Amino acid sequence: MLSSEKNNSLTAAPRKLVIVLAVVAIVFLLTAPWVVPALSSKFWLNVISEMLIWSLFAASVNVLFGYVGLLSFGQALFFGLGAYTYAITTVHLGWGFWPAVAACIVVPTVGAGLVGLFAVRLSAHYFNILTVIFSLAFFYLAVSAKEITGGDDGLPFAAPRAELPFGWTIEFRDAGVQYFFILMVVVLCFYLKHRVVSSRLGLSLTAVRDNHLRASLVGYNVYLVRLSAFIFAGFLAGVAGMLFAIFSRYASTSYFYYTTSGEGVVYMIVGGAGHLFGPVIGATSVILLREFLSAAWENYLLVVGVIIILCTRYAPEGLAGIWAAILARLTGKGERV
Amino acid sequence: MDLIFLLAMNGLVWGLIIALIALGLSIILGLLDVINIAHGDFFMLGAVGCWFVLAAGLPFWVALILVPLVGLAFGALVQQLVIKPVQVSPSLSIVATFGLSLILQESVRATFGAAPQRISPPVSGTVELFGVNYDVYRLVAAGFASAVLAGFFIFLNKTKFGTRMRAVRLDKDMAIALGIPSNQIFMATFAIGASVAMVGGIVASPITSIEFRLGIDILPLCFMAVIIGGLGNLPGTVAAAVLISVTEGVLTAFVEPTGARIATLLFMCVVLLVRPQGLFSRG
Amino acid sequence: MTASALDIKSQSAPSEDAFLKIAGLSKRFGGLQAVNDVTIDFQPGLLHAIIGPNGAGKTTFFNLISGMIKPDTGSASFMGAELVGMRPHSVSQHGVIRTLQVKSVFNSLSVAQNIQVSAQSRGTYLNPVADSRRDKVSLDKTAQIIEELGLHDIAGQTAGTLSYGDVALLEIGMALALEPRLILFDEPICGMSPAETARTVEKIVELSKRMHVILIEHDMDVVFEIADLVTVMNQGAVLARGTSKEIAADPHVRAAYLGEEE
Repeated sequence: MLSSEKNNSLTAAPRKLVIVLAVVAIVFLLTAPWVVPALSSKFWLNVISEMLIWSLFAASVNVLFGYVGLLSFGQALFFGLGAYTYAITTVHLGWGFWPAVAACIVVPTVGAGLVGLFAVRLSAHYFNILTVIFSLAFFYLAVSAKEITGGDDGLPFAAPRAELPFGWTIEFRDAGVQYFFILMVVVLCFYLKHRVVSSRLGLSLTAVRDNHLRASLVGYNVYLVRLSAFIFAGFLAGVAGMLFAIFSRYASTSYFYYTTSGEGVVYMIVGGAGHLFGPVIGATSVILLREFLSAAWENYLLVVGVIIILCTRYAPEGLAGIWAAILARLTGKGERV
Repeated sequence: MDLIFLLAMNGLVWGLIIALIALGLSIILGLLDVINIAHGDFFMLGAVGCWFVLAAGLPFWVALILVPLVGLAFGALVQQLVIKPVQVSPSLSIVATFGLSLILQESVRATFGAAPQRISPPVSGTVELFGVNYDVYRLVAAGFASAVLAGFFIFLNKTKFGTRMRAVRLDKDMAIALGIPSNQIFMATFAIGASVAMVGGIVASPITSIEFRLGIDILPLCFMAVIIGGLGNLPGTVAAAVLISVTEGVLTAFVEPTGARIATLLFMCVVLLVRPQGLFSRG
Repeated sequence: MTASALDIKSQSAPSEDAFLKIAGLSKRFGGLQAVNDVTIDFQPGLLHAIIGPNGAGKTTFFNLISGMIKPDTGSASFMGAELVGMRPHSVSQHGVIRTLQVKSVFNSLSVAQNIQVSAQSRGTYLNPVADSRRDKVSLDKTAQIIEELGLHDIAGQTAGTLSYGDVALLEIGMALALEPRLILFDEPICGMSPAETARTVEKIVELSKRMHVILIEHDMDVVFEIADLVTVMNQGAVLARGTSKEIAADPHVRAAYLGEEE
């Protein structure tokens, strides 16, 4: 289903193209706080921050589906856990920024370990359904625990402020500072994801995705391979949830709902499952589409729905897959024996 | 005691409506290997369709005939356009139905509006039932839903077409080898599933507030019924739908509705882990 | 090396030097007794083959040994380790490697990566930071196997695009990467061209000199040509055992099996 061109090395001409594009992207991302407001408004800087966060969330879905072949409609659970861990530790427990961030890494990761113990045992359909069920259970739990979570109203908090050594601070009130913090965290997480998928574990993930029976006969403990991926995906989703809470100064029970999971799945599919930057491409394109269309037409989601269906039918590897196919064509690797 | 009886009755009515949706979900999963995330939206379309028919000045029974027929055609069309091209991959087909769900919700929001609407039931008044005054329409709804469920099982077990559907569900490859036109079966299954969910929507429309998000909230309950009843066990699914709904209804006498929901979700987790074949299936 | 005439009864008795000892192994599927109280030893130094009509329980027998199915009763002891109760990956880690009747590999990976992913399963395959493209141990092993099987031309090709014969050869390469002590071949030449068959048969004979080999095969000519000891299964039980000549001459075997074929 997911044929893979991503391991092929690129030859000279397209490699240059890729490098140029990468340099343009990096320069843009590094100068965005000055360039973007100059060009349009502060609003777009926040849109880019949001794209980065949703890219990270989609990366979590991608680790599961794109690399180990498990489609989860329950990643919202870890997104919500990340968001609420930040809100609860700072608002109710009065923790500082860094201890709260540490908690936001630990809680969703451990949570993923616990859920994974049960979920990855199950076959595909039951896995899909069980992940949704766990996230729903937390949704209803969050809705009913009003004193802690704020119920339907959510839990708001003031713009965070992080202490650094030498008396420096990170002021999240400043949109530019906030942007750089988010950029740094997301880039770090994508670097981690890159390391993981090109590691020995990464190769194991692909083996299990391609043919889990064969993988077990080869000697892989399919359960442990899947569990590892599930925990890593939970970590990524948790960090994304934390960033989104910090970004919007708010944790909402709706983060736990399966429709949030659905957003991650959509970005991944449109961008390209199994490709490192697929989630970035997907989140960027869909959010751009939203920003341009929603001003003109409030039912822009109709278009998103059509795009999803067209993707599943004509481009199951999404935009990144199309891009890889074009590159392959350019390098003459398109004609396979 | 009266309160609990009332809550149990309401739970029963809703349980039968959920059973209508869950049955379609279950046969689509069993035959087409597709987890249909848009199935709750078919239920929503039924309710919205009923509202449009009534708004056009037509009586309720017209909606009851017209909407499911349109639903059959619509379901067949959706299966051909959306599901069939990606049916080889269960995962992609789930994603496709998520896209379909967005399309259905937004289409309804664009035409019907975002504001919830209510319609008045075709029959009103109350009857005395074990010393409690109970809404007549809800009794009629329960009776009608039961009749449709019975009709569905008769169709599945007594007609040639139903036999073929069961054959495909039991062994797809063998059925195809025997010359059963599987593509027609897949199309019909999806169409029937969609249509039955819409019947549920029509029946429910006078006792709920109609809005484009109606399907999002009901879908998890339907999945719970399918899992607790056992994948592929259709009578078990009906029993589970009623059981969940009545239990949740009665529990709301003592705890908040969300607490009742958490209890059923936990119960379902236990079922999934201890008896993955479902509560009402053997072996 | 050809075995002297071996009596079934003396084979059934436990012996010290057998690498694989099967005792009372049974599996029932509903009304079908797929494997029926099989007690049998496999001695080292021989190329073992298992034959039998369709439905004789040969593949189920392999499935029971390799942990894919749990037997109802019985044991399978491989060089002192009890295989019954182990999951397939543990059986594999013990050096008991099986191939499947329907050939399958990792389709999105290249031929070289298929071998590498097999080789790295003998190490810390859950390591999330060690770069697989710089994993010297598995890469060296891969290069060595590509050399041994002559896979240079297709090493970079995506496995999903291989011909059936090449997939079968790749499967053997993957098995070799797993440091096998025993390979269970399930109809390795099924669906191959005559040239591919000759190449594969030669390889299997060569392997049988370095490690234990048990082969399920339908092609009688191949079995009688290369097998040192042939075990005949019928209706889940062992019907006869002996050299190719003995089996070819056995009237029971002819009745149960060869008669149907010819």
